[in-house]
Amino acid sequence: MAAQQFTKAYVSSMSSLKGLETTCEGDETNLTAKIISLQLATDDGAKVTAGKYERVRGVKLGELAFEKYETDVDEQSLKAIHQTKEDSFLFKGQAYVQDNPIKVLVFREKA
Amino acid sequence: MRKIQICLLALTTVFATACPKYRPSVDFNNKGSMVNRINDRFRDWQTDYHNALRATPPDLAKAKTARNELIEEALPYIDDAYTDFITDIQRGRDRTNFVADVIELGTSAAVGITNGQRPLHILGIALTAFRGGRRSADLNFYKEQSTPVLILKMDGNRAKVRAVILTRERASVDDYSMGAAISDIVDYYNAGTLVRAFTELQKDTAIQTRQSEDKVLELKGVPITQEAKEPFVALSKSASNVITSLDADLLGADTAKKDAATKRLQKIVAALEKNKDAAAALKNAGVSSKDDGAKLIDALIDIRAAASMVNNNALLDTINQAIVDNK
Repeated sequence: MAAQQFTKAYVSSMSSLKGLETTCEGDETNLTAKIISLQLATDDGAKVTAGKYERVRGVKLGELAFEKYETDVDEQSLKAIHQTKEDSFLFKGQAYVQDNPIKVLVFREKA
Repeated sequence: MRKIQICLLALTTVFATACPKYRPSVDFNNKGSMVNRINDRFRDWQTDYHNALRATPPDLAKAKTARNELIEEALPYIDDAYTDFITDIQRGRDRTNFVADVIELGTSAAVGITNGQRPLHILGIALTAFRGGRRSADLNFYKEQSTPVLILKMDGNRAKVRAVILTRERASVDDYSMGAAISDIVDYYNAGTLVRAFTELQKDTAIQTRQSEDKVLELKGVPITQEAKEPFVALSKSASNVITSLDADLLGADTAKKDAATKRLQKIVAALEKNKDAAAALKNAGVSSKDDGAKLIDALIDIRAAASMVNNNALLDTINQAIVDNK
């Protein structure tokens, strides 16, 4: 059976990427789910960041780390930096911060 | 017997098929081949080009003319070879594909009857190569579509390079040297190869995939979540840690831990039953503080998720505080 999924719509005027990260961490804990994607969306016409989650039980997920990137070089550099910290790369997506779309890499920090 | 079968197969391959064609014909050993004819013209024009540059003062206009003449004389050779190549792949594909099927079956059979690593290795490589050949030359199944698509792609690739060359021909020899011109001629040739056609098609597909990934998702009626405050997230995490531990205890084999987890969950729910909103949510979930641990933890997880989906942070704070406080 497929794991239960949830989609949340985050306000596009998040003050910072850190603010979105903290909000997503809160949602992971309250939904008892892990984040699986972030993408640009509209919700009844309003700009939002759609965050998708998948139910996971019995696991302490740990902290998230969101990183903004622009180029492929940035992406590879950030992945390498987090790899040295033994963080796990989860996915890349897009999000609105202060109403501007940005590209985001999402990592799970080593517990 | 095995040797005879393998030899028969190899000979059939050699005599019944030509090598799959991926590009216009280039024969470096044939004096009259395209490459040699182009090289002859390159040599003559390059001599003129360098003589013009070495003159005192350098004759830049003459060098530019030599460079452009070289390009314009070389390209028709490539065009001729390309035309032959296109004609060949349009005309020859049915025969090639028929033989491809025969060889593929034959090779598989040979792998089946052959013992030892080396014959398997060799045949495996031959099979892979031939499958690659089929893929590039044409696929039986798509024969009505794939060849025209590949030819169109090659035509498009060639036209792009041609446009670049025409633009660069206007530049002086300082900005567009003979070396760069020759590089463009090679690019023009490569643009008319199946390998380049496949590469470009893959790029197109990647771009289309990226565009579809970038497409904005359309949601309807999902409550919009504001930025969370640190204290709310901290309490949520603490409660989540408790829930995770209790969940593990209930699933484990240790009876004492199961009992303790059940008692704690009953205590949490009993505390929540005193709160109007939490009590309503528990009633809605069909649980009470008298229920067993498994039912209670499932209910608490579902209630917290439901509250999170509608951004009911007040209820979440109440539940999470009860989870943390009731030890």
